[in-house]
Amino acid sequence: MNILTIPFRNIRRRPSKSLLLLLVFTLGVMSIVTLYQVSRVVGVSLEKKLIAYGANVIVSPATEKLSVSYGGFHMGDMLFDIQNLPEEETVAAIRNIKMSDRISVVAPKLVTMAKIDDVAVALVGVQWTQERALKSYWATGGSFPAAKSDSPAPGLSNEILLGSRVAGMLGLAAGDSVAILGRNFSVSGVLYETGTDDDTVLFMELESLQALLGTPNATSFIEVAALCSGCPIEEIVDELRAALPGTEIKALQHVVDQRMASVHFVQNLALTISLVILVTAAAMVGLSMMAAVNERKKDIGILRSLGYGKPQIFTIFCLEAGLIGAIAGALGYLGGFGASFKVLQLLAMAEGGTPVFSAAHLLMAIVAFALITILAAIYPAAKGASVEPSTALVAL
Amino acid sequence: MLYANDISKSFVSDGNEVPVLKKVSVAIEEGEFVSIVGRSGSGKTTLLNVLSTLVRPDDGELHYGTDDLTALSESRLNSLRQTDFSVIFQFHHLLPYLNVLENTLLPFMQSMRPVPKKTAAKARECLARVGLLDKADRLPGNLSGGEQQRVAIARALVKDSRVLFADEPTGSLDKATGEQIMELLTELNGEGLTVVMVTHDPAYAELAQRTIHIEDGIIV
Repeated sequence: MNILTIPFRNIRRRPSKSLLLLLVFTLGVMSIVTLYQVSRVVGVSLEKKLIAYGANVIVSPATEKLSVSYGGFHMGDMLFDIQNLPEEETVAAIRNIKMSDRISVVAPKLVTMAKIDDVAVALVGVQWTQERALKSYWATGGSFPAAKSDSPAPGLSNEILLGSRVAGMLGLAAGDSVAILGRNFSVSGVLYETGTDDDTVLFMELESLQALLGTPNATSFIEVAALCSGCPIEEIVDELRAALPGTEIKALQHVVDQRMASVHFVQNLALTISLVILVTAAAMVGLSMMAAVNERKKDIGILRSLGYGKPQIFTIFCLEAGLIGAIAGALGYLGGFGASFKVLQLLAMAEGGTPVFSAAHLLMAIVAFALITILAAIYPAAKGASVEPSTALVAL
Repeated sequence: MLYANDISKSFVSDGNEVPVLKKVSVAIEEGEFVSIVGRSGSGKTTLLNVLSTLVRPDDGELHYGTDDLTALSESRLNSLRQTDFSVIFQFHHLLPYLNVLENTLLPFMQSMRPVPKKTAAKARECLARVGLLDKADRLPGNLSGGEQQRVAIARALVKDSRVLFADEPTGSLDKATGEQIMELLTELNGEGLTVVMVTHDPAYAELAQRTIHIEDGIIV
């Protein structure tokens, strides 16, 4: 028996009233936890979907650039000492950084120029699985070349994919054959116009291009799609720099910003709704405590006659509210966690993530909601504490 | 032991100041049983509330031993009510959601520190003294008026109070139960407890060693 006994027994004395208040606040907490879990999962899912619209980090060899002009005639920038990156080692290094769970797609590329029927064309070697994960907006007349792992034929792939403008310049269509650097390839498809650089290049399997150029394991640069909702892109870039010394790592900040704006919109919306629910639930607790203070002036009179001071009366009302908040925090967190699965199932938006149970979050919910209800009860509790014994005695 | 000198107290009713006590002087000696009698509205309950420090007087002096109660801080007065003074009322003297034992121990539940086992054992002894040990786990709603009054008296005993202030302790009880309560108060007074009791019943007032008559806020 201690001061906690008083609010605890009072809550128990009026089960229907206490349960109603508890139910309202639990529903509030539940809604907030559900919104948090759903917005988190939807954010991750949304970001993963947005990854399909391009990379946000570029890994390329460090090069030196020289601006050349002579006699007032500017001849442009000259790159020298161009080196390729070792494909396997670089990809492995990217995949093995500490925040590897934030790395979604790693798409190495080898780029070169070649003449096909006297037309200069840019050739890009790609890994089809990674490239298509990065560019799900691609559509083709014909079909996409089979990924190396899916290809039934042993050896190097001889399928190519043409950008729409290149196909027009070369007069090629799906099903045609063409000789590139002395080897025959078949056009599996032609990309519909994308409005990007992809329209002006010819794509083939990375390994095939490496073989054609006699540079096995070489890659010109690597596009990386990183998930930025859990940490800033700068942290990922720093880790990549540490893992890949001598390379240039560049974050495409505008791409990151665009993606995060979408994710943040979802999270901010959830936060706003949560705040409204929280304020409403806290107001209900405050109103209920106000009514309780008025109802319990007799109790206050008895307690004051027994030597309870203002701080003790204040504590009793705050503890009563805090107990409700703590219980609602625990029940609401568990209920909200369970409900988030159902909501995500109904919304069909749980791709790429599931609600995560955390004992630390449960504890935080208990403490936070106990504090919120105590805050909501401060004014009524102070009002109760300020009741003079003489006023309270009138009720006796 | 307890001295009130020229105590005045007014209340505001409908915007008008109504004097309830007019320069009242009272002296209560240690171990006395004093009854305060008077008609309804004469100011007897207000005098009891002033003496028990529940109401601060507007004017006058109030001394308890060497302490000037009118000058004591709120916390010192609380501590006095917690230890030396006990008040029992006509109605509503128990918290309805605490059981008999918890109500008896209420003065010791003011912090997070649990009530000491020794105090709880003493509370059981005091409940046994007033014949309610077998009802220690019951809620006040399941007790008769007389039993509730006895729980309030047991609470005063656990505290080892020096002065028991009783405001119409038999007012809501039938004659037989009222007599039992009066017997208990007389017995406790015989053991050294100072009792100051407000009553409108002349028969019960006669049980006290001294009776103070109050009329229109003045002792007559």
